[in-house]
Amino acid sequence: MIEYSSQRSGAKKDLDVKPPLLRMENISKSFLGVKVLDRVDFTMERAEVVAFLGANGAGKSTLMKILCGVYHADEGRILLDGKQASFNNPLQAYGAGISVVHQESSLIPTLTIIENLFLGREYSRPGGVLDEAAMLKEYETIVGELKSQGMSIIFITHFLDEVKSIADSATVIRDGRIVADHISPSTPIRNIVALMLGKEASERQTYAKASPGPVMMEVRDLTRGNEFSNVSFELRAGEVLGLVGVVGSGKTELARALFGASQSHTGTIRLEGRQLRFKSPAQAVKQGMGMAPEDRKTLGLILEHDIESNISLSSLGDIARYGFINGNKEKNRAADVASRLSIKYVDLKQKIKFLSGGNQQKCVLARWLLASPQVLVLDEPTRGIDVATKEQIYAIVRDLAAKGKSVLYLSGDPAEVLIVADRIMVMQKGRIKRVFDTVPTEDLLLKEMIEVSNE
Amino acid sequence: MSETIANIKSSKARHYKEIVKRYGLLISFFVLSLGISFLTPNFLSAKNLMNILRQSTIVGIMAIGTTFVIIGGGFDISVGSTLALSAALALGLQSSMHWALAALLAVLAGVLIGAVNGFLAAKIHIVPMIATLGTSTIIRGLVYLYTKGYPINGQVPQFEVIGSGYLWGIPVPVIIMVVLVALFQFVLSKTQLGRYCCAVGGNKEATRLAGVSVDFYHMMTFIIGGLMAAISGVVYAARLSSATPLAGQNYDMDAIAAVVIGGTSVSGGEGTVLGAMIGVLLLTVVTNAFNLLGVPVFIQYVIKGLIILVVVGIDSYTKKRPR
Repeated sequence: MIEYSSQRSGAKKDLDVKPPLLRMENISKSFLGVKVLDRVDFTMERAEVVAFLGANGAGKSTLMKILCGVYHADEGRILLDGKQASFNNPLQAYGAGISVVHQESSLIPTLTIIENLFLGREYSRPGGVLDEAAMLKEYETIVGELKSQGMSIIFITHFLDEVKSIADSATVIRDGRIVADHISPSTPIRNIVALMLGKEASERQTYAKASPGPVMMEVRDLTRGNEFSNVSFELRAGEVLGLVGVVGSGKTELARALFGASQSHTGTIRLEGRQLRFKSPAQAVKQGMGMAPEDRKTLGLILEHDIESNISLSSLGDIARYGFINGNKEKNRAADVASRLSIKYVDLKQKIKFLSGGNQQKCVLARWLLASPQVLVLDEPTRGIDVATKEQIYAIVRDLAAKGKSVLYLSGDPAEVLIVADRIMVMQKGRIKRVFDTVPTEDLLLKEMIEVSNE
Repeated sequence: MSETIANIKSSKARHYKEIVKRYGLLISFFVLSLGISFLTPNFLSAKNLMNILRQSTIVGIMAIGTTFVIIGGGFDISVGSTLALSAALALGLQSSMHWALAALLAVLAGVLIGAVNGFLAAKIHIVPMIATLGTSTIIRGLVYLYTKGYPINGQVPQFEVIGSGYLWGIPVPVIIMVVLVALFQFVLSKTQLGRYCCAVGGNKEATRLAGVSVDFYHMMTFIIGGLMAAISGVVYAARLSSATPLAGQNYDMDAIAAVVIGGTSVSGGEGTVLGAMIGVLLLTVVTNAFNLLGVPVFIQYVIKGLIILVVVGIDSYTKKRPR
């Protein structure tokens, strides 16, 4: 473990007299038996700006949600000005002077990467909305001004560059534990990445990577508004191409454009040599494409319908003859693919909403296995799924590649892309930042993912 | 392992709970009509039962189409006006052509109206209720223009067979209704068209991303709605041998109520034509019983409105209430 000197700034003269502004002690929190926070201690002084860093799922958002009253800690306590505080809802936390500014960026439709938390009892003027697009300078000015008013700020971010100039110190959380507390923000980024990653990368299963065949999909200079720009790549038969990027990097938008789910992009898409422009996903499917969207509950499944019809949805044309559905054929096919993917169910006529998340995701994959497209786009296929099922999904994806299919695998988790992909593209802020033709080390990949390129 | 078994068991229990929730309404209405039958001695007579069946035909045929529209996630309140237009055309065109051709054109008019409704809902993204409110007003206006405000009377006895004839002792409209119910129940549950209509109502975006031409199927639900409304218009014209500009008013609401009573979800995605048919019969039974019991018509309106609100209310509340 590398030693970092502790550095504190702001209101130093009060340090001995007054208790810290905020003290979170021994905070633990579990969701569905999974420990997200494990006895976390976190302290903050007045007029201090702390950058709070951690990989996806490290627990940083959970800690902040406990602080502002969205969640209740299973264990531990929160002290504000030395007095114990307990918030049942965000309004109470707000009343105590804690407010959260969510970054409302069009790049980030569902999740907030950057959340700013303002602490300051007497200075509860609403902090202006900090726009991510605004210049870093502006950030510094605003943060500096708020700080001079005695406000303490926790700054949650993936973008390490922004940390340096703004924060007094950085705290890194990994797997629910603080692994570096109040270290200098000028700590080399590679060291911070190492902290976020953890030194001990666990042993993982590896898959035989196939030798790729001819080019199946060729994308040139694809651009759509401010979602993504000048994206070019080739996807070959029998390969899994990993597309890795944080939420908001533009990868989902890219996948939707490729699949015809969104229109009005510029650039060209060739499928097996033919230049195509899909007006709808229906056309893309006809031309041999498939896509498992990122959010299976709202975009992937018809929750109120049964398992069987959810699985057969994209291949009904093969199952039906002159528009009449052959019930036995449908049932047999669905049962067959369900057993191949070891989907656990009671009855194929059972509503799919009663299946677990992992089994639901497998049903979406089963749908595309039946439709058997040449090019399959998988957007975060393992999100919110347990480790065992993840491994099964990797095996399914590798099996597809072994059968000569082309898979574009989108993920925010570099570890899984390293397992499943033959080649890896890193996407950031709408651009392909780097392409690895051979699988890189995890450290290198994560560094590439979260470091902002200086242009 | 024991955990999975517990999960499976609880999911099965939920499965049954679903069924009870869905058809509970149907069962309670059935009990209600049984009670009525004991109150009114004439109720169970063969003549009265046949009468109930025949009275159900107009709204019954209409409700087949409404089932598709609601399953597809829409609402169609223009079917009453469509009935009026179809009835007026079926009788009015007979002066210049063969009655069969006139009936066919009347039915095609319904298909056209359905296509317009579907286009407005699926392509222009107008909320279906508002879109069909608009077209409903237009159609009613067209009926007034076409009829000049007066009833059109029929003159062709062969045409009237459709509405008041008998085959093997069964009224012809009842036969038409039963055939259409069987046909469209089959379409709904055994064909690609029916499956995709359900899928569109269940989750349009997910269905789109599965590679289905959702706008087409969304439009198809309205086309079937218009088609059925027009057929019911032809039967109506043949039965009464007269088409008034005011024909079919409130029938759309009766059809929607029947469909929902029959277990079709107001939020779309699931339902049956058969259920809708039982819903129509039950509504007719209630009306019939009121008449036999001598309940004034005005009070019947109030009660029918309450029934519709309660039925739709229960369905909406159980689906949308915050957990």
